[in-house]
Amino acid sequence: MIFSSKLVEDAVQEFAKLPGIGKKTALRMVLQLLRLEEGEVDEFTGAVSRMRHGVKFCKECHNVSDSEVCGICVNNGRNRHQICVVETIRDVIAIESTQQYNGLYHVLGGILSPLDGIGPEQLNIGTLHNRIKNDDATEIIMALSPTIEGDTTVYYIARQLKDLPVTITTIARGISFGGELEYADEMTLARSIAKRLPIENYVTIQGK
Amino acid sequence: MSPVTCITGPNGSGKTNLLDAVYYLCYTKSYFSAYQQNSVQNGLDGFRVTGNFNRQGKEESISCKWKAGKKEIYANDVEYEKVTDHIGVYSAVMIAPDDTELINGSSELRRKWVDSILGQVDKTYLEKLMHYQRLLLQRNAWLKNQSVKPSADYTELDYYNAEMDMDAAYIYEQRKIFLEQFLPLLDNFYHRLCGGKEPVNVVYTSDLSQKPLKDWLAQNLQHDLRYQRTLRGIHKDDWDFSVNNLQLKQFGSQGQKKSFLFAMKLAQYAYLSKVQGHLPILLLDDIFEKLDQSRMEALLHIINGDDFGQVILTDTHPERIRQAFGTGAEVGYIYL
Repeated sequence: MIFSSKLVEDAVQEFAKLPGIGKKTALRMVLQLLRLEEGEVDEFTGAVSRMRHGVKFCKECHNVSDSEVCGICVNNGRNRHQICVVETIRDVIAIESTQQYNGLYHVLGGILSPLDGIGPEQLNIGTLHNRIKNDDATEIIMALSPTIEGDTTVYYIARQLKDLPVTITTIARGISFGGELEYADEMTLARSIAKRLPIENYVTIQGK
Repeated sequence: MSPVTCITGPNGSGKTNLLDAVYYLCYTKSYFSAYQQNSVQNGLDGFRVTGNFNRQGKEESISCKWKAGKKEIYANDVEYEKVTDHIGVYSAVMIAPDDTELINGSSELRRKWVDSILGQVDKTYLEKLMHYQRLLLQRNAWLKNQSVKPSADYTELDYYNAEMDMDAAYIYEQRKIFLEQFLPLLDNFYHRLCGGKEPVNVVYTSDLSQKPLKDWLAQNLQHDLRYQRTLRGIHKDDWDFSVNNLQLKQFGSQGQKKSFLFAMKLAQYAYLSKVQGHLPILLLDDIFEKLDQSRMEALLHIINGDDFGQVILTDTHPERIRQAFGTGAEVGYIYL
């Protein structure tokens, strides 16, 4: 791509660093910014800059936050007996969007994978241990991906916590909600049959 | 196409390529090249292979598209969600000149061969094998990290050991059962090919025949740490071939090896057709060049039998094939 302005070129280069953004999309964004008033652009760059400088990580759960402790952790309306362990901040956002979970979170910042050089010391596991020891948590919900690395992490944390008086649970795996059985892949279906649940989990039988 | 099709043409005209295309449509990979990129014509960035198959009286067009590392498989223009769903629908057995590597080469080739057979008839086997291989990678990476930065925390290792033990137990059991079923087939074909009474045998050797993997992993930890990799397990399994109680790799003649190899491939064919309930396509790449008259006749007799289905072969000399199959045989020719 040949630019007549070095300034435009620099801006395009910066946008193209973002995930999923190629040169052409970056150029489109830059041209859009050129069309805006200067003040509007300042607002845009200001927001980005303030975000990076101002953002903090919650000292309790390691979620992103505007203050020392995040909005979820300070909220007294939330169930402090449950802590949901997730890999990244994105998982917090996904679970929050369900509006079905009212407990606290703990963001590990990754999962155990020696191949990628990620060991226990890179993850926020020590702080989880302290939180459980000092706070009121009675249940730890593991919401990690069902992969070898995710399962290794579940196992590792479960071992770390085995002497503490908490129940450790893990999110259910199997047929997706509203999914049709014939479209489920064989591995998931086989597992769902092996790890089937009593129907009381789903329906109440009248007169029983 | 007729039951037997001969692809003929001068050297370098693409006979084997066409044969490999059939194999590719069955397994979505080339028989000859492990690297997908190598299947692409020089200077281009992708390819497409299409073939019309006839299964249980129904015609189906299978198409495979490969572009810049991304593979898509279509059946009657409908894309498969997962490429692995296609594996096992059609099967093929290839016999090619370089296959003696299976006898002379390293144990990895024999494991791959057995895995490719069991993997297409048993999805659980394939899953457990892939699971095991991923765990092995992580375990070896863990061992390597220990040498750089030792830690007294062995929790991860405990997990890898326990999971690998479960996968390995299944894989070991299936490989054992496979050999029990395979050996009589091999014995039969070997003697039909070259007569004689010399006993043929295959012995499956595995660390797991002595004790479960979890015991090996526990006892061998110091060795593993020193070598920074996992020294015991089903990834070290091998099969010993022998004729007349002598190891084939070391003491077998060229002729014995060739007969043994053909018998193995024919037994593979028979095994697949028995387990899958349909006849694979037999692909013979330039093999008549390498066979003497008596074994060629025996081979033709076998593949003309009812237990065998469609055969596609390549040869530079169509007269040789015409002669070998006899004048009454229905043989189609493709001239390149």
